[in-house]
Amino acid sequence: MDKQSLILDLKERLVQTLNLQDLEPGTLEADTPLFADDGLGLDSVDALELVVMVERDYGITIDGKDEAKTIFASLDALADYIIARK
Amino acid sequence: MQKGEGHPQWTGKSHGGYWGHKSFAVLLRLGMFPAYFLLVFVAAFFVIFRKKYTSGGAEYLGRLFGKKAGAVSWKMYRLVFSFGMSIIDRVAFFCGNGKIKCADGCEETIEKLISDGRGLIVLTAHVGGWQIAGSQLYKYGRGVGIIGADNEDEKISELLDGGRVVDTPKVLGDAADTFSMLPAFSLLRRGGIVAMHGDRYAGGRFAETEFLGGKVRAPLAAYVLAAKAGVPVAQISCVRESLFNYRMEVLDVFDFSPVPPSELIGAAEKCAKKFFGNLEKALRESPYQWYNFYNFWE
Repeated sequence: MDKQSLILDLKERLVQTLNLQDLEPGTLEADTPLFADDGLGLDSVDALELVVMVERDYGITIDGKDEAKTIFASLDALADYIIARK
Repeated sequence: MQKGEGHPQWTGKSHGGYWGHKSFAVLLRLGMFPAYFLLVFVAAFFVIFRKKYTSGGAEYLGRLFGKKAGAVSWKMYRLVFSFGMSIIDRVAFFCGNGKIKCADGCEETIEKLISDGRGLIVLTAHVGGWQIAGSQLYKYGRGVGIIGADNEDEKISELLDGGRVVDTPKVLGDAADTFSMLPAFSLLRRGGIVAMHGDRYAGGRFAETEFLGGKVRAPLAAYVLAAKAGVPVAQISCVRESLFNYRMEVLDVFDFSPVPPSELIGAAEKCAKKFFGNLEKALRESPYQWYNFYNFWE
């Protein structure tokens, strides 16, 4: 899977996993900050949901809080991490 | 369930920081009673001249006992004195002076909960000697970590380095940090024990619940973490029963895994409400042992 396809896949999974009913996956930009207030403003419960999703769907475990800040900065960053680990 | 953006939350610093602990640690070399004697004056100083630090405590006492001004001042003194005693006791305990004892009434329940190899979340409140309770968790032979607020437990560890003889759990992160749950999640899945506070809202998901006659924000992260890791939650208190003597007991157990994703937050809300009901009951029995000096009801 190339990066663009992976980002599209991640958008769908993010909206589904976090039950973001008001958000159309197509309107989400790849570089939108996920946890910052000027982005999606996700919280610690969302972080946990995303970690479980990445492990279940992509077979990658993320358990360091410092690396998680970088990995989950945006969908673009997450896609880069997944590609690098695959 | 609600998210906390844009709402007031606990952002202050814990009282009794490094130098507060250090002065008492120095006096403790002379014995427990000289340290308690100094506390008579230190507590009075805080009640009279540092009202902004104790105003949250006044709100708590007013809700518990009623708001007669003179009565609240005396009760505030008792609360601050009791808080100071808890600091002296914890320093004495971790330095191993042998005076402070902790009876563990949780052992049987905890052993049963982790007997199948699962991890456990120990959910405490800022009651009595919660740090002393944390040190009791090593006896189960599992990895132990805590998620703190304001890194208060790290400060104590820093102070005690060199003088400490009793281990304190590893700090996995701060409750206000969005990603602190991740190392805790990993430890729980390896069968470890994670201790957290359930009575301080530091941001993130919460449920509004009744507590001492008013609405408060009950943090939900601990319950969601438990459900995701497939572990139970034991609500524990560690109160000072008499001079030098503490007792740990299990107030409740929340074991709602596995739960369908669509019901997870609802299940967490029920647990959070029950936690505060249990806490209120415990505080009515030990009213001067809740050391959460900020206005929880704002």
